[in-house]
Amino acid sequence: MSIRELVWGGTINVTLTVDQKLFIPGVPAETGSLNFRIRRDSYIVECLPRLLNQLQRYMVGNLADILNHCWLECDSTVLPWFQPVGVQYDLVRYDAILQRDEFLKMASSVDAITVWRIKLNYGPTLPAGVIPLIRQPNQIESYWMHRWKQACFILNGTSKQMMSLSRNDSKKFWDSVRNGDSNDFEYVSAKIVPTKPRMIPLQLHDINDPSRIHQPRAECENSSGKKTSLLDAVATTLPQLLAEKGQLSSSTTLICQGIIIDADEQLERLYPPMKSFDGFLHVVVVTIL
Amino acid sequence: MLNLQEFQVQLRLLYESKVLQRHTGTRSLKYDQQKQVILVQCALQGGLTAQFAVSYNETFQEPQLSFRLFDPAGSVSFDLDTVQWPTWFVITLDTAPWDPETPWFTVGCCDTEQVIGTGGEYLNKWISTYLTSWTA
Repeated sequence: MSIRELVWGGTINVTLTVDQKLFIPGVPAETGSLNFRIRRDSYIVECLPRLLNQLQRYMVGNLADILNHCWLECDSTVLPWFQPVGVQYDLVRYDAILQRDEFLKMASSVDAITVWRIKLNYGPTLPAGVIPLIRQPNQIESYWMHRWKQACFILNGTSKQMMSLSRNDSKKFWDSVRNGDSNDFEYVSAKIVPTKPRMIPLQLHDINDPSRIHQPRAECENSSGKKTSLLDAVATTLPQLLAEKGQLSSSTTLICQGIIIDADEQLERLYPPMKSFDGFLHVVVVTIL
Repeated sequence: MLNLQEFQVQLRLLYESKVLQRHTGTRSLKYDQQKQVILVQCALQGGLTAQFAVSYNETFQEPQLSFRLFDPAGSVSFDLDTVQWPTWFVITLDTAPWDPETPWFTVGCCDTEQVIGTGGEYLNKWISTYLTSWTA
């Protein structure tokens, strides 16, 4: 299996507990607990209507209203649905590990089977930073298209490749994300991603400040023609993470798609196999303070 | 397309020209120099009020129009159907880099140059096309 296939096929085991307020009085608490597996490269809200439909006969209120007033949390940390599942998992998972000072132990463990326990909350007011779901499912598709337009512009200097996709290709592209169809995804994304990108759509998620997403200007080559590395991009955005001689500090680790990445890796080489389904290369920056 | 420095200069000039302050739809205006954003409160159809934000989109290197809607009681509204938006607006609900805790509707800006043309007083042309021409 290629790295790209492994990245595309990456999944996470999830236990979702639905807010007890949403159930008819008397329904046992365990009814609101669902176990499922989700693709790292997806939006978590995409599967919510299907999951909640399974529980609807035990629930009060209608689905549209619930989706409009719900949000996801893990250990009281709000999970913004508009970030890929894998990025959110890496942010909260590594944060929890750091708090227990088990990072190095976990990083060397290959046999660990983990379940991500998250909660679906419901309330009249959404926490800060949560985008309400107002037009399901079109809102999610439209948000994802909006992300790809940005990625396309960064890669090519124009969004033309994205805007000129045929209706059939646009539909095929979104369906490929919904259905996890890697062939269709690669077929359409090849029309957008050039063989020689101008810049790389890169987002850095700092585990110590997760609400602030850094999007450095990540050119593939510097002015003297040298290929740019992930370290170069981190150095321009988070210079405090560098040790002497410009190397990454020993307390910092870079995670992409759940995998520890060499900071010296060239961005141009890293992007094709590791890019996310929204067209961006997401890197979680883990620092032991 | 304009770079960040040009945008910052043109944003200050836009504020000082009082074009937005004199606009008939404007109810109130705030220029946040630290965030480089102009916030304009405008009355819309059906008793709705919109708070428009003129900021800079670093990805597309274009001015960015964002807005929030408020119903007649002053509560935040997400009902886009009650307003007749310009047909070419592509609207997405997102957060803004200068206000990451609040959902803002953002108007797509990847084709701004095709919409307003190049050259001239870029931000003045932009504000006329994207805001003042249809909120009067």
